[in-house]
Amino acid sequence: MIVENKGQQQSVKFVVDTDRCCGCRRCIRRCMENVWHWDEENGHAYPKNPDECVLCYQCEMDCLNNVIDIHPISTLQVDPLEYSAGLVKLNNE
Amino acid sequence: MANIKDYGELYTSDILVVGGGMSGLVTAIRAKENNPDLDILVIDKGVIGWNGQATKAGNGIRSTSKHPDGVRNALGYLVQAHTPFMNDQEFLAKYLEVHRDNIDYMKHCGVITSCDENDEATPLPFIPDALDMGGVSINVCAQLRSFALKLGIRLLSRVNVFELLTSKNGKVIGAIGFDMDHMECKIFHAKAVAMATQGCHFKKIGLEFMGYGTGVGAMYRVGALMRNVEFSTQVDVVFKKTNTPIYGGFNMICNKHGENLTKKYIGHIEWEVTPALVDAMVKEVAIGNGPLWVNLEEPDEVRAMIGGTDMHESTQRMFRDKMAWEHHVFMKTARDIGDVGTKPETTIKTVIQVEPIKVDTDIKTNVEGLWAPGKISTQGNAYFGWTRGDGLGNASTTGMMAGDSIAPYAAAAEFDEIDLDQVAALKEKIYAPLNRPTDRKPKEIFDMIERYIFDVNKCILKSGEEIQGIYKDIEEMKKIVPELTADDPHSLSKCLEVADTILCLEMIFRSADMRKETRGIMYPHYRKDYPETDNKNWLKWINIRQGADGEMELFTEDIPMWRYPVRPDGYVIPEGHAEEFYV
Repeated sequence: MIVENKGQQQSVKFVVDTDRCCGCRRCIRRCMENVWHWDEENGHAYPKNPDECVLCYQCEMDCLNNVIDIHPISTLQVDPLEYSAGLVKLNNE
Repeated sequence: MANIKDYGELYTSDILVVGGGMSGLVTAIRAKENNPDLDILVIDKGVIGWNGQATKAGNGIRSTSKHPDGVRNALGYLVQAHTPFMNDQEFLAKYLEVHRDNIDYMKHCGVITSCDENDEATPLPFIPDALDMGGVSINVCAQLRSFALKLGIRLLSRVNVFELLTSKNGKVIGAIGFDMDHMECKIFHAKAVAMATQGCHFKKIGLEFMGYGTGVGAMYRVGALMRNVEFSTQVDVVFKKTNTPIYGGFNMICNKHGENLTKKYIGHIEWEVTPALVDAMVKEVAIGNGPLWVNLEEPDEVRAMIGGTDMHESTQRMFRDKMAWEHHVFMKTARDIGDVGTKPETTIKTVIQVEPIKVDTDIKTNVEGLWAPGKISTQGNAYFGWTRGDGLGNASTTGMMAGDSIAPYAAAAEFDEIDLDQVAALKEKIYAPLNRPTDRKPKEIFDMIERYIFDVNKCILKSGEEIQGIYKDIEEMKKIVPELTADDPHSLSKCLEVADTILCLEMIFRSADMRKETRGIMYPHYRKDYPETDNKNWLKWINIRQGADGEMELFTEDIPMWRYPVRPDGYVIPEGHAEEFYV
């Protein structure tokens, strides 16, 4: 399963080998942002709320069968310095 | 006749602790050790033991030095450190006394701490005889959970509460919310409540966590007093590639011509990121001197100290399992985005942190029956000590103080009657986003707030003019809230959370508007239109509360410097007051 999030500052791709998910649910237990949930029908954990991910990687580190692989696509889409500098110019015009 | 159970599942306990992170668990443990007969329930929106800020924090744990002058030395340092003279020094003195036993108490609770070969915390070299330091395990909350269960403390995970219940005379007697898996209403009835929920912690960067300020909002609505909210925006210098901090690297920033910004604009090294440096960085980028970068091959003394590159394993700022975690994060980033190298590009990140609940030396709020241990009261107790990397020490110490105070209170208290009309009204408010004909989502508002953390002119280098613009944005955001819709526990939480994040944002800018001076670093209050610190007119706290008409009310309170040992140079006791501090 491949899931991409749409975070504004960072984007992340979750690659989850759901066939090998052993059902330990440690990802669900660890995630403070409520990203991970249990798929009752198919019997595996999955990132139901990927936009909430803050890229702490602790689900991946806790995963008992090592089936979660998180790929950061971009950690910063807008540079605050460039954004702020642009605003200064706009205000001066 | 209506029954409470018609509205939801009822849980009763002598003490309810909302928030099962480090401070909540320590509060519960300490209270239970004070009085084993007390029935204590800890609840959390996540899974208790694996959630909480302490599982993400990296900066070790401190305790006041056992040197005879330890409290005095630490107090002298902390009052000057970040937001000079804004501390409640009477609170701080009591805090630092309890803080002396902090690491020892964590060991007693089964927490793994890193100390020297004699099992002692090792003194920090740059604050001699003031603050000692040890590392702490990434699994600190699991260790505390285990200890709490052995004592007979009850734990309930994955319940999110949004409002507090009050008795007819205004005492806090419980809370209401829902479970995060089935959205069933949960009602809690207690003799005393501790809100260990952390504050509003708005950011989106790696190695971190989000807080939306729901605890702040719930306490505000029952009349809790807030303080020091204008010091709520933090700025840090980060690797542009990873968006993670370059610890201590802020004096080493160069422009594309190799000119050092600290030398060019400031003239002396700083021990924290200052608004002046942020201003310089923006200016350099604006005139085309970017990209900015840092030469890590030649660390200066600040980088060596704060970056932790010169410390022995027993005293380093991160314990071994935390180092492994950070290494993992770096490896993953390097694989997908590339190594940061030794001359990385740099930028800044801004974080909104609102932790303003005013508490007394028992960590009790001004509202009867309500305590606020942990990060949620770090501004309100005017300690600010966690800003030097002691969030964990603040969590445990305020937990110890709260536990010592709440236990005898709950033992002597009775259960006050729950007001069913209040429960019905709050339940309707909480579940309202499920039943609206509109279709607007909280992300719309969160995206608006996120833009603020990109713009230093809004968050760091404030001005009266910018603040007026922000008020308009806040009004726009407030108009969206009654149209937000949800269809599951997660989206319902977000609808409620975003309203309290807006509340926290409004508190920041209303108090920043009022304070017409500049003060502090790292968590600065900086006004472009009032760039100097004004100790003559602004040795005052700005307090916030919900007024009788439901509107936000701000008022100032003179800081009683005449009772405090640490004072600004040239301080003169104002007319009508006499010297009250005697060494």
